[in-house]
Amino acid sequence: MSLPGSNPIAALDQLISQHLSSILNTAYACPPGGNRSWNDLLAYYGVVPEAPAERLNTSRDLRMTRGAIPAEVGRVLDGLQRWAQGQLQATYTSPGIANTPQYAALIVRIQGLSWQERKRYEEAVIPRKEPSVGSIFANASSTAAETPWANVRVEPANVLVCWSCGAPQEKAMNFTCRYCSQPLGGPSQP
Amino acid sequence: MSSSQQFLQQWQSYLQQIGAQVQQVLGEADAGCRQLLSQHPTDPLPIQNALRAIHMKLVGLQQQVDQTWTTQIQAQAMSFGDNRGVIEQGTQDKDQLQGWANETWDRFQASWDIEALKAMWPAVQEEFTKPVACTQCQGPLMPTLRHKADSVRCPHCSAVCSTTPAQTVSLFYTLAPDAWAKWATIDKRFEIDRFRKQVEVQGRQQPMSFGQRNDEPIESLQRWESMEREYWTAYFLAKAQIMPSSNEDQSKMRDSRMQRIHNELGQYASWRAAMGPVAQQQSEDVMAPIEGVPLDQYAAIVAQQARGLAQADFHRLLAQQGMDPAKWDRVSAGWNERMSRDTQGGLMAAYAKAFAGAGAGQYGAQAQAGAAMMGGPGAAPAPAGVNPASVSFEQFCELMGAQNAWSMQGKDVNAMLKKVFSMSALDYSNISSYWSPRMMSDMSLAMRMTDLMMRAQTKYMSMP
Repeated sequence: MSLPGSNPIAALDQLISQHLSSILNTAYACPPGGNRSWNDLLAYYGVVPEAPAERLNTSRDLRMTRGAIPAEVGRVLDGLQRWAQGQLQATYTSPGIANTPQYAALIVRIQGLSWQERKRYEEAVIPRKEPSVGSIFANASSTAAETPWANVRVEPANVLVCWSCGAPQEKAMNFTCRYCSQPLGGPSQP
Repeated sequence: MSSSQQFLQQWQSYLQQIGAQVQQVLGEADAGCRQLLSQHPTDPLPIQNALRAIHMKLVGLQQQVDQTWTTQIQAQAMSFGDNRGVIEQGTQDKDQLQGWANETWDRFQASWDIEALKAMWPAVQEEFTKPVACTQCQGPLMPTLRHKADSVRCPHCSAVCSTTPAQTVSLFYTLAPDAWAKWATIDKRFEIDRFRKQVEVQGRQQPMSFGQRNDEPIESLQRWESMEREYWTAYFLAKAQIMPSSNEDQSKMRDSRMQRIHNELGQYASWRAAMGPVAQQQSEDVMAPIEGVPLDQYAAIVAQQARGLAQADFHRLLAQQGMDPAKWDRVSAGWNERMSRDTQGGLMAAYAKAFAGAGAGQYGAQAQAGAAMMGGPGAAPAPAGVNPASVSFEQFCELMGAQNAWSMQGKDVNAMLKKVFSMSALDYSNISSYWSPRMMSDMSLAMRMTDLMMRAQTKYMSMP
């Protein structure tokens, strides 16, 4: 990947767009989990593909109806971002160049490239199922009675009786049985 | 109209749309809360679950604003020649919307927290008037305290009765003090937040060297300090209206909150120059035992309690440790209070370690052995729980993703953990304690976590 043209910043910007377009279009166009074109693209970018079973499970779990799995797309985008960062450093030939708005805009673009494009891709291929406000309240109501402590009954009073002879505790904070001298709560473990 | 004006106009119109969405969500949520409260007047947990999910929805909208600003707008604004004015104006518009959304949400939540407690109050009062009988002789008892555990000597048979408030009463007195304090002081908090935001905006307009914190005039810092002091004084005074506490205790709690503020003020050169270095509070030894109960003993008992011991068995376990339920409540409240003002996180970490290691160590072994023998010979042993090492990393990520999905859907996470995975919150906490340090030391696990978690989240979001 090289930078043609006289304005290196604009050329890099354009080149990133070309790569992105190629990656995302190929990823988006394939059936759930990928196809031969996607495998070729992974090989071109030097990314090891996931096992076929993993691809299948992921696309099923994510309810995808199309597209390569996000993890693989993310790895290709990570590689593109690393390459772009290297190229950006190579374009830094004088301090003046860093003060141009184009340079600043490109830094912002490259810094968030992988994360943002992956997020955009995920939004395109993973069906969103955000709960409506109505369903939130219905869920809150329907699971209310199922909480582990929902049906716990608390006895309003309880008398501690001797573990050994059954006599009741007769003095607050005294845990030795008055009758058999055993610990009321049972033998304390070492 | 210049391109920068046009740009700002588009941005403001986008923010207005988001604002309208926030209002719509809250309007629908208001009706939902009303209905939920009429269905479950004595249980504030469903409304808390729903409010948490609504909050996640609103946070999602705010993240959308941030993302749009970073990815599209800021990059576009960068291409204008002198873009500082445009970016500053755009940032202020964004901050204004987010400030409004946060305040609107905080007020909404605090108001429904109070409504939920108001709905509980008749049931709490009814519990106060219910007769309590000695379990030994069935004679009537007169507990002096009805909102917390107490020890009463039966006037008829002389047995010592431990009285325990009903679940509704305990829940009310756990939630109400802070909920009321927050509601009563909410405008003071907003005033402080707005003041700090204003200072932040002014600070952005000052030239700043990279990596350096802009100093702030001492008058401004003193005003902040005084506002915070006034806020926390009012907060603990309001809290004491529900759960009485002495002036001295209120001052102690206020000072612990102020210590955090003072630590932050100490970062400013102007504060240090005027006030000298920030003095660390000569606080009590936070690890000192409370009524003779050290932290690891407390954590070991909580861990046994969390495994679901029956009430009578729990009292017996306490007796083995030299405590009655009334003392346990005081010890528990004391440790919880200390942990809530643990600014450094050391106490929380020590507690988490002791809790996770319950069963190990002197007190853990005692508590576990004590719990195991409950019920006498032949009784079923306490549930053993899940062995964290038997849960794979993939399953751990699935648990996290599922819980995220349930939270977003407004479901009760504890109920769902039990229903879907036959697990308790304690089991999950143990699994998390097992895998978290492994993720910290093995980056390959950490890198897989997001994908696995998201897969699970999407899977559980699609389930009814």
